Amino acid sequence: MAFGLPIAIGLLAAAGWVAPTALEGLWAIGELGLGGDVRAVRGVLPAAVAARRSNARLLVVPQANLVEAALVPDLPVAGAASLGQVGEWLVGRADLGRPGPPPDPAVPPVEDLADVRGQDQARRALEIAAAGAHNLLFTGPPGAGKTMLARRLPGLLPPLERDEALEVTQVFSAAGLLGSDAGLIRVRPFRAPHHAISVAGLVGGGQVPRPGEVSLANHGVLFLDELPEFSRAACEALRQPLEEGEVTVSRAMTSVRFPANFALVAAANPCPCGHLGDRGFACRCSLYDLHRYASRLSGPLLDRIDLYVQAERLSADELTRAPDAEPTAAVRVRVLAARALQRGRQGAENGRLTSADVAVHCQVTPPARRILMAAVDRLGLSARGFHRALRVARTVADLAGSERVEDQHVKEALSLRHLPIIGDREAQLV
Amino acid sequence: MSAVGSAEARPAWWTPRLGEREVLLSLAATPGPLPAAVATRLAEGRDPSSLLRAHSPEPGAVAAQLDALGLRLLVPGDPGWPLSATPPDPPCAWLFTAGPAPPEAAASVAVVGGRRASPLRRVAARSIGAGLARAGWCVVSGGAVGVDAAAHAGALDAGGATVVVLGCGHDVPYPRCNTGLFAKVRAAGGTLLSEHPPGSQPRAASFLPRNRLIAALSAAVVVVEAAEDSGSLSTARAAGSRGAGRVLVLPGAPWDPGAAGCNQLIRDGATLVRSLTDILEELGATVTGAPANGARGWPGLDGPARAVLTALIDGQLLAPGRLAAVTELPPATLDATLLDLELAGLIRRTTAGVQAISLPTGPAAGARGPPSDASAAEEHEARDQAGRGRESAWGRPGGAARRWVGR
Repeated sequence: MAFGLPIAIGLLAAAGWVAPTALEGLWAIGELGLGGDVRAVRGVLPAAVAARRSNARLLVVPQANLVEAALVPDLPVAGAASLGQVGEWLVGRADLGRPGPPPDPAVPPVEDLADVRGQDQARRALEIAAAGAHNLLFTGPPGAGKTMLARRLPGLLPPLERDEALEVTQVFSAAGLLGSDAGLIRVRPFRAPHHAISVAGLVGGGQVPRPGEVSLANHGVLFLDELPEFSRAACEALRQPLEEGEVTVSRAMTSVRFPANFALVAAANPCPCGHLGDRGFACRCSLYDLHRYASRLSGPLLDRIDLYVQAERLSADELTRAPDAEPTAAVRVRVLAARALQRGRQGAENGRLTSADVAVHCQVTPPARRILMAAVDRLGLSARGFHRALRVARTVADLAGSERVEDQHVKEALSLRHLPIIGDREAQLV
Repeated sequence: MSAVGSAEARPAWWTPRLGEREVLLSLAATPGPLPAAVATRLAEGRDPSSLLRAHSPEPGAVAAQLDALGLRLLVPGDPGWPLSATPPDPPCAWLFTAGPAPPEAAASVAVVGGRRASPLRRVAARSIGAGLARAGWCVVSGGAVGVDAAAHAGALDAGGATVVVLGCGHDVPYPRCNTGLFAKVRAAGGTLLSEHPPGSQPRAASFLPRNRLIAALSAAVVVVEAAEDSGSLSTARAAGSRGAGRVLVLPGAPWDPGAAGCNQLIRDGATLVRSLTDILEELGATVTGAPANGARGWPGLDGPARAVLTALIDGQLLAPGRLAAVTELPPATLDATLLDLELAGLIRRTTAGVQAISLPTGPAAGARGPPSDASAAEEHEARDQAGRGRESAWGRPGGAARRWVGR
């Protein structure tokens, strides 16, 4: 009950203990214990943002939430440990806790691409995903490093701007996941919910709606490992956030919108046992297993994914080779430059272009067009696939600093296109 | 089991006045025992009526059911019984038949392989099915997906007739995705056979005995793919043990799991075949073209394309990074090469890796048909010499590759 403290303050005024004028422009949030202690609550930061927007004179929060409330600039805040302290303060006999200098927690080091051995195509795909805000699907056997690769995407994205950081921190606050002395969240979140997660856990819910994983991943990366194991309902629920960048949680009395603007990285084994196409391991799946798996893996969610990449298990030789890969910092330079090009041209990342925008901004050279048409003819590239390839080719060209989308950009985009899943339409092959 | 005991198990409708065919009809339609086991008892001289069970259906009802399904029961001695010259072991006592009676074994060739054979081997099966059909042979195989379906599809491509030997009842759609193929087989004048009465579900135990029938229905068994302990291996062994049946085997690399059984058969004395020409030659054709050799040539392919195809030649799935390591091609070259090969229809990319699905064209060969059909064979030979029907050792009819690869 985050309204315990403000109700109690109201009662103090109503009972004539303090002058009603003392409450003018005063905001308060906090839970009261039976002993009059003021307890920490979740959602202090969003409350503080709202208070700032309403030009509050002062926001009183539980002492344990003081650091969090102080994150909002130009908002006077004070911390209360007990109702008694608040009463004393209202009659001018004591003071409330005041925020110290803002904490500056060390930004944890990003997980660096240089740690990844081999996997050239996967590294390149991460770069393209970061540069163009494209969603990504990794396939590969267990132990191929799909999770390790996905964890490196946040570090490739541009640093969080202050507004974005405040939004990220607000969502964590609303979810009650902010520590009492945590400052502003400075790194892009990486959320990897387990595949058994409920729909409410994924997109938000509860009687007093809490943000779900899609909102906790706001401005960051949502990683869905073992994608085919997620329930159909959960995958369906991802459609709105993927399309609109926010999610609406409806309850009987109210509906709440949470931000949900994330990069999606999904991962899947190539087959139920995971070893189809794996070297040194025989796949033990029956044809029936493969058919069923392929039908589980396909679905509307894949329409929102631009890039398909195969991760692969490395040999002992490759694993022990000295790391020679480009570090995250070097790749991020190219990502930032490509993003700047996109902002200048169209005001949004290529991954967010609609089909109409694609026609305008993704003009290709005649040789590149010929390759695309051949792919439509001979590889069964669908209309959706065609547009996806154009968007990705645009990003590849932006990374190369090329104004025009040339044939080599289209070729690279096609090498990352949607691929058939073995077991899917397998019978038609003969 | 004593004679008295089995008499007690006879069905209520049984009378001593029933003809032998009616008893067989009921026996064949009795659900439960494996047909091969019943046939063995009959071959030992047991009275068919003593093998009936209490739940054996009435002959009249069985006949009506077969009529409704468009099936006939063929038994030894019937006109069209295909196994009189090549009795299988264990014996076969009846065949539920849809379509015309299958040809004698001397006019048929079996093409066998696994359900999960690599695309290259499936393409080979299709090409062999087509080549055999063009040369006038009837193609015999099971009804499974993979090599079986590819062999039938190839024969149908060439306008030939095929015989499908099922491991379940005719009215049980198994495998479901092949029901269309079975309809095409029937429409093309082919035959579907099963030892099992209508309504029999596919059981693992039904398929091994089924393979002996495929071997017995054919003058030769072409093994396109055989893993260790596979059904294809059992078909080949059934043909081999019969003496008359020849076993022709496509070899494979020692590390190719889909070739382990093939190579074992060759080591045990089966005939290694490298091409459709080899197969037709083994079957008595005179070769009119240059000797086919699938691995030589690959005309029109550039170095990188050759390197990629060579790496994929066993039909296995390779991740792109693995291909890069094996071929030592720089990423941009590899991407471009893969796309060219994909557009040429020679490879496919899947979420599990890259896989070869066809090979570029090579020299062609003439063909002679089965002994009973010499005139048709000559016609095909003439057609081949006229330049039609050219194809690679195992690939599909060519042309497309040259347009797209190696420019």
